[in-house]
Amino acid sequence: MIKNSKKLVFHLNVFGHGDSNPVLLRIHLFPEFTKIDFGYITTNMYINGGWIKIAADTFIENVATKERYTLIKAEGITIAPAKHNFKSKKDWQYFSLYFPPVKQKDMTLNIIEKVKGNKHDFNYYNIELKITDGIEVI
Amino acid sequence: MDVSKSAYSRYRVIDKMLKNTFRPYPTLLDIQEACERSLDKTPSLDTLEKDIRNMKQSEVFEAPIVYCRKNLGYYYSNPNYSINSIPLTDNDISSIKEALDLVKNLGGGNRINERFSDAIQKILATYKEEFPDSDTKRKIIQTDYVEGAKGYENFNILFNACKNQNPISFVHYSYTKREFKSVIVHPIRLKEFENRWYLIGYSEHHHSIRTFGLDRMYEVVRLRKKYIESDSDEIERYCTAIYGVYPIENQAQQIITFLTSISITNYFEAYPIHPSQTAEKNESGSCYFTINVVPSMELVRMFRSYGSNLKVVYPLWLKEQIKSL
Repeated sequence: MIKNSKKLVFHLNVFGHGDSNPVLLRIHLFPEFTKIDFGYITTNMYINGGWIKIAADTFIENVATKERYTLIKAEGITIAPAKHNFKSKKDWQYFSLYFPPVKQKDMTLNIIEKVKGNKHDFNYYNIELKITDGIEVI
Repeated sequence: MDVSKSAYSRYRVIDKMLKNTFRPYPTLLDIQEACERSLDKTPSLDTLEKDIRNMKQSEVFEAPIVYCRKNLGYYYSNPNYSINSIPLTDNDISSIKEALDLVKNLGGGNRINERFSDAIQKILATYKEEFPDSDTKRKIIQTDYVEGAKGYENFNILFNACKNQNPISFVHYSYTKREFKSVIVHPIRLKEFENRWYLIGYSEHHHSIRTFGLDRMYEVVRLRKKYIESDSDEIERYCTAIYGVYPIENQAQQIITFLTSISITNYFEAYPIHPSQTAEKNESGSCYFTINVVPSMELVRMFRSYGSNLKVVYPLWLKEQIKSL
């Protein structure tokens, strides 16, 4: 747990590096953990909407310091190799990934499911967080 | 905590003994004897010890029971406390009984609020005692509510956010746009329409008041942030001067007149769709109804559902919209 820090939430609503990536909705910087919320919408690309999963070694990385924080928990999405199978091309899934707490300083983050991954991997680059943009959670 | 009838009977014996100033500081053995006399049952000392613990720890009773080492017996640290301390007349009890039947039939309170459910549970404990023959399982009123509906898990936090005017953050999924968005909303009120719950609040993203279905909201958190008060006229437009919840964009509150056939007129007379509704009945039995509302998606949908039995007379744009489909 990181001392002297607040519970902050950042509203992002940004897409990943691939068309089929989930939208990155919010990042919560809490003293106990870092939580990242995503929303995934199925497309016509796959039969019955396809499936999603997240690699167990997914990590977030502080671009400047190169510090890495590996996934500790996932909610709403299965950890690979297990898959969450959709039922239709019109399904959606909200999910959250938990990582260890990070220092509450201005930073640029990468969220990496697979290093040098293709567009189907859930990778997000250069997510800028300015602490002043964070809103304190009660 | 659900209290069984037998446990509650023992609680009443314990309460009575702790309130008895002539024989203060009863021991577990004293209480056991009293249960034998009053209930024709001999609970074990372990059971009585557990009962005392439950009475102390229960959110329902929160009994201030203390063991006195000096006198080797139990007592209430607050001498005014009693589990029967609410004086009720026969009429009060009768009214509560009717209300409880209604609440139970509406889903026992679980649908709305856990705290409310606890309060109801507390009354029910007494109620079972006072009305041992009542048939609380038989449904007398049936509502549309179906267990498993999404979104109720956020009801408490939204209720408190509205009450305390706390801005909130949540993720919203739009069924029509098929789009996720994280939003900050300054909540105004919760509204139920056709058995679905909605939050009405000022959305920072939209820069205006918006309606959000509770079933499409994920992980609501309250924010330490200055609350933005909305204009009272705008709140009125969204909350009161409307049939339904989603106003049609760029349409002001206006007079809407529609003609109903004889086969559906009675329903509109019996169940007005808005407080502003007035009627002008024709000799044939058909009727011109007028309402003064902000047109909404739900109003259009409702009008269409009556097919040729309902014709919009005014305004023309709405008449054309209904006709064109």
